[in-house]
Amino acid sequence: MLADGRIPSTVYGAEHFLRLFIKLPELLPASSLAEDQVALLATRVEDVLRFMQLKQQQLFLPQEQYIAAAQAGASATKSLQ
Amino acid sequence: MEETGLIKAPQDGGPLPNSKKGGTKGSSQAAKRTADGTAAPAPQLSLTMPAPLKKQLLDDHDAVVENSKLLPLPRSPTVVEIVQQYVAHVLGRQPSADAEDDVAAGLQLYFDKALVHCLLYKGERQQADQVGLRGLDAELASFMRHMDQLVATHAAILRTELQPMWFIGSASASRHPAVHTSPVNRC
Repeated sequence: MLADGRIPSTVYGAEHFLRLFIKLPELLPASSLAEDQVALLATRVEDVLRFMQLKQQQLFLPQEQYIAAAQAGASATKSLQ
Repeated sequence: MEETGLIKAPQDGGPLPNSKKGGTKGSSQAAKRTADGTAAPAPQLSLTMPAPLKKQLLDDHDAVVENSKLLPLPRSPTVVEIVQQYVAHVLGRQPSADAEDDVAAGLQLYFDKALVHCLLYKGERQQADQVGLRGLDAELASFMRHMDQLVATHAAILRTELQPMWFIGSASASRHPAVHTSPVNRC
């Protein structure tokens, strides 16, 4: 949670969200999932990925719009005030 | 890759398990017993990352890690908005999206709890501090508390077809000790 009470999902976007899908198998060890349940879950999660691919141009920032670290800090502080 | 544990998505299939479409997910691990009678590993979630998104991950990694760039925050659309758009997208193709809504809500919840532990590159930590993310120690304790609370707060979800999904992430240390052993390192 952010200091002002907001949650990260109201500040971060598709780039960080996409990283979650890489980590999801580790975060969900599935030790008590049946095989069919794992398959169903994978299907549902992959549907989200397909949506993100479909909307890739709208969701993700082009690399040239990334900013330098120093600039990012100032920008973030200002924008969240 | 940096200390986040995020694995740079390789060109040959990404950091995700090498799952393939066609129903093989987890099948090699799902047998109840192996030939010698010992318990087989539980089936693991195996996701197929579309190639364009793999490239997106690589480009993002290169920008942040190799070129010391950062994403300007807040982003637009946010994760909340993406999840909302996804559910609306599903409702555009079918009359109900209850299951998809549950999954999307779960993903958002995991994102909120996992961000500082797993989803930031080292170069992004300072930016996270600047936008007001709590310190890692406090967040770690909060992370574990929330994981335990998920069972109670998402009781309805637990009764659905995806019941085990959120339960696993909410398991107590006694049931899933690995959850409580250095989540930062696990990520």
